[in-house]
Amino acid sequence: MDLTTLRSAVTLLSFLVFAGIVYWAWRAQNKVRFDEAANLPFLDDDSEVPQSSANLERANNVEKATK
Amino acid sequence: MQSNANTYNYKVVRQFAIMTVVWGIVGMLVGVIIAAQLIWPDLTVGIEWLSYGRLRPLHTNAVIFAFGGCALFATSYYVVQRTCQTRLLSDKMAAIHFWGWQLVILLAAVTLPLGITSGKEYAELEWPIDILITIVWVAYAINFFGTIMMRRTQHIYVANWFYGAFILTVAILHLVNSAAIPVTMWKSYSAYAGVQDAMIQWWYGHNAVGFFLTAGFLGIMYYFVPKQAERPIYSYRLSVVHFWALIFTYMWAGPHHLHYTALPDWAQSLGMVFSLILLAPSWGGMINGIMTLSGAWHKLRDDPILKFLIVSLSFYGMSTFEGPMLSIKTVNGLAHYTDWIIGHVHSGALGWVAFISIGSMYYLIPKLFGQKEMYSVKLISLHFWIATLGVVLYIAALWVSGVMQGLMWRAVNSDGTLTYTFVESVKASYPYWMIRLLGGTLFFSGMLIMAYNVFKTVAAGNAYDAPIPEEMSPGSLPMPAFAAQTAAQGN
Repeated sequence: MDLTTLRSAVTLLSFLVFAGIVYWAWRAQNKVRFDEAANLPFLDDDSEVPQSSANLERANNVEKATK
Repeated sequence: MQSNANTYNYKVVRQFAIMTVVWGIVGMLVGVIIAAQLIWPDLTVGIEWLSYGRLRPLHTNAVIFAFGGCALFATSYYVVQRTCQTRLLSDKMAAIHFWGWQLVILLAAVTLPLGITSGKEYAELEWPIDILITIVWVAYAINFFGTIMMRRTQHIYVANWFYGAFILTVAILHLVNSAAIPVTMWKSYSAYAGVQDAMIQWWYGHNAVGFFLTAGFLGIMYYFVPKQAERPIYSYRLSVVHFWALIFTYMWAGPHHLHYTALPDWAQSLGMVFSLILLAPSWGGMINGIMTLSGAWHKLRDDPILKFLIVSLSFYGMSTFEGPMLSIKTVNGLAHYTDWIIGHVHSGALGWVAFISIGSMYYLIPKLFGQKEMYSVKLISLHFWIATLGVVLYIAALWVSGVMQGLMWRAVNSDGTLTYTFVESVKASYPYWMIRLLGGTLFFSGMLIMAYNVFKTVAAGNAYDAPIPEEMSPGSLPMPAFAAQTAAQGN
């Protein structure tokens, strides 16, 4: 295989991998895991940051979403 | 050690956080001095150690690696522990990292004014210091990734992905670009020659921008913007795509630093195309950060910390629009080697990097010293406005002087001779350099206000190490897979 073909193949492959990542990110099945991950910074809200109503509301929403 | 097991290691976070403020002041003071030297070249009365050529690398190293570095280390150690719900892998390695890095900075502050340099931009330090950096960096990497491996949460939060990419890529960049043949203790020559050396230098240089000054600080953004706004990131899915898109594209943008040089034309075009593509992930990240405030815009009105964080994203968007435009060959033909480039760098460095660092430090420092908030919120607000005014004056002045210089240098008479001599463009730049000095001084004054505020906050509090939650609060999701299974079986 000549070098240019190889280069084109790598470019195409990279693009396909990227398209795969986009598909993976927006797949409905993965919504819950991403919602969980998005809430990681709020897991251990201790006394340092008083619980705001927005926080509680969000926690409730996540709870509902997974039931 | 038993008593430590129940708390996070905040000690290393405290150390790096305080040094962020200290090195910020030092680095920016040197910046103000060299800005003044451009206007008054005899300012330092001919002392060679204080000449412009020696202080300039001291300024860039101090603000990027001392100020920016300490901010990244402080926040990454804080974020990785809190989002993984576990103490750092090793307190000893954290201490090696902190003291080792301070030694690197100290050695830089001594060697650069002495004129000891390898001459590679943003990688000027000579080989013995490069080896020390490598050792310190390995300690950092083991500690960071080791902590992620010990995590008690199922997922790895996106901020840690960005920090991880920053740590890994900077390691590779440093090893490749600093490869050199030592001649004496304090002199070495690059392992590469000619245009290959230039290409490796700017592959390093641009990825230092991409992974040190961007990916690392995006890690700060993805934790501290949601925390301060008290709502999760606008779209976690977008953050996943943002991450990979950034990783895929940044690596190839370096050649735009070498337009119209001996670098092959195809490589220049490749660098330009990838720089243009970079606009998409950059703006995706910016939108993700700013839209996190959606539905809570009112918080921006009276929370100066949030102002710092959100305005930093606006500057990020601005400079990542400007960057791709400047990478277009014809635009670059006008802008390269002019003040426009320095203006562009500072809209990123002051507006984005410094603003998000300052915002995160105002969030972090009270928590590290058992305080509810900073000593004075009013002073944070004052800092914000002084700094914003400073950045705007700085970059606007250099836009004008940059375009003016570019136009003067390319102007030709009908007989083909140059219309202006170089020194005429220097003379025409003085008013703008005055405005730039004023802008830089304002930004520096803001850091002094911050130092006072931090001092009062620290003095009023005591070092505080937050406890690691015993178990996850009920209803919280990211529990280890095995625990979830057991729970399901129980039902």
